[in-house]
Amino acid sequence: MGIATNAGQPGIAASVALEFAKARRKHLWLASLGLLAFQFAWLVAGASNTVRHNPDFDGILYMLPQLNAIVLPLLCAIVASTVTDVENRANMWKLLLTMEDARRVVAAKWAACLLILAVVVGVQTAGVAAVAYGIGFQQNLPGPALLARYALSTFVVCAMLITIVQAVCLATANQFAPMIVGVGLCFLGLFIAYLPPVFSWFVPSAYFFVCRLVDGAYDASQHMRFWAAPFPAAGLAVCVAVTVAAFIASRRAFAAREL
Amino acid sequence: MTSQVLERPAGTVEGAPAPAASGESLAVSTRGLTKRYGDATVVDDMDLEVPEGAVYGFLGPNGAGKSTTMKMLLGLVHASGGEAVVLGREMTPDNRLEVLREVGSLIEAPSCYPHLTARENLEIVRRLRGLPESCIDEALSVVRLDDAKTQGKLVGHFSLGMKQRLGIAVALMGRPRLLLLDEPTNGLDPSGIHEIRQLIREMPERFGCTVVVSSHLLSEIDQMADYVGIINKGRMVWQGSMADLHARARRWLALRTTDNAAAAGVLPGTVADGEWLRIKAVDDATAGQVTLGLARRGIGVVRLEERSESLEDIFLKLTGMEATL
Repeated sequence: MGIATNAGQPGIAASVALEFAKARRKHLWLASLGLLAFQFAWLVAGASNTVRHNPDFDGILYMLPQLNAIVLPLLCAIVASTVTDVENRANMWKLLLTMEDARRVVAAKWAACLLILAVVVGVQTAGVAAVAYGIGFQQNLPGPALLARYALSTFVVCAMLITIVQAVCLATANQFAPMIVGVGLCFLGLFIAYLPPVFSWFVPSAYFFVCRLVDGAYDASQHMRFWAAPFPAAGLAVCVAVTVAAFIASRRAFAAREL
Repeated sequence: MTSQVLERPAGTVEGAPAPAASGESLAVSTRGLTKRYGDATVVDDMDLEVPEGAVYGFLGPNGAGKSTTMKMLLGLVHASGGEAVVLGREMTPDNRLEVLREVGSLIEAPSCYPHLTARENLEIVRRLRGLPESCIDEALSVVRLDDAKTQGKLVGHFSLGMKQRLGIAVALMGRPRLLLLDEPTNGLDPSGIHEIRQLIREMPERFGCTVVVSSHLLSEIDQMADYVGIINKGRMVWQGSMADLHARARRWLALRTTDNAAAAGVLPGTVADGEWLRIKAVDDATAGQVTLGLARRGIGVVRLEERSESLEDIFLKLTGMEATL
């Protein structure tokens, strides 16, 4: 056993890899893919019904944010709380922060969560493409550009949610708190659809609606009509701003905390 | 009461470097280290001096400020005032992690991931510290967690003693020059306490490190430490070698005779103590003369014992807790 002589902390990539090592046996991937499978099953069931009387895939892209607003906040809460709470359960902060800078640990955990979410969004986008091309839709099939825009907007909203939940995790050692936030966001995202659109700007999980790529409304004959929405630059900008602000504030607060 | 500055290297572990009088031989020294929470002063103007290569017992009642002091040394708690020099370098927020690369710690309870095995836990620490893989085997073997059955077990299924040993293994990874162990025997059964105590006792010689170990149990520190710092209500009330602490104990001779009243008349300065008489401690020759003198007067000596204040008495006196117990 040699004297510890490494020049500094591990690099950020190594720190992120360590977060995955710590999350071993926490079944993070299983939980993420399980929720995704549940959402996919729901999507397939809905799409199979829809395609019989309306072969326009825009209807599915219009419906997807609603599914995301229900499932993804919960998934974000599970991922962020698992990755962060692992230190609380292990009474590890007191040791960890003698070896690694607090800001580095927070950044590594955040990056690990984002990586998981990136994979989840990627798999979900692939699932959406499979539904579009596999179930028999004829109109407005999504091309690579639209799928990329969908993946980007979904990921940016997820990043905001995960940053908020992580901030809660870092502020409290109780894993119950982030789960409450996750479930709360999930319900808010579900019911915000019944309120005027302006309310969506004040609920993080409702940004799946704010950033939707297809809009729709009932026409005079009470049929839903869909159209491509403009790129949700304002909504995404708000998400990015909230994400950056929440990340910086929570990281600063955590680094200043005494153990 | 003021703290006594360490004067001599007596009592250091055999084979470990003997501390000199200058500051350079101190593994840890603090000057005026203070921690306040609002109006409450938890650590008050602490001057700590830990000689290199020694086992330093940090002794005090619960809530005296031992853990807070150790956390300040690790930078986990920010000092309200004073300075700390660890391994020859003044600790600052900027160099904290660099200094701590040569410091192992176990604060309050062992830090280990319950859903991982002992080896996986050590692997995480190894990667964080950038150590070679061989460190893991050595650390596991030192704390005897290297058998096949234990290696396959998740830490969540470990007994408290095993977790404590793993905590020490984590602290020992990379052979740090300084180990800070906060109440490492807390919650252990007698055999576990004995085992951890032995391990700590051997550390300076075996690994060439300095150990600071805190406890609220005097007997434990007495059996482990070469030096002791006694802290009460955030203040260092006494600091020095264990030998010096023992030397502070008042000694006397306790005597029982066939006629205590007559013996008291013969021996000047005798104090009655129940069925016993107390006389001041004397050398063997004088003690012999006392017994002969009494025998000549027809007073038989039934018992003659040398007694001294226990360390507990000294501790209670130093911490001012005598009246409360």
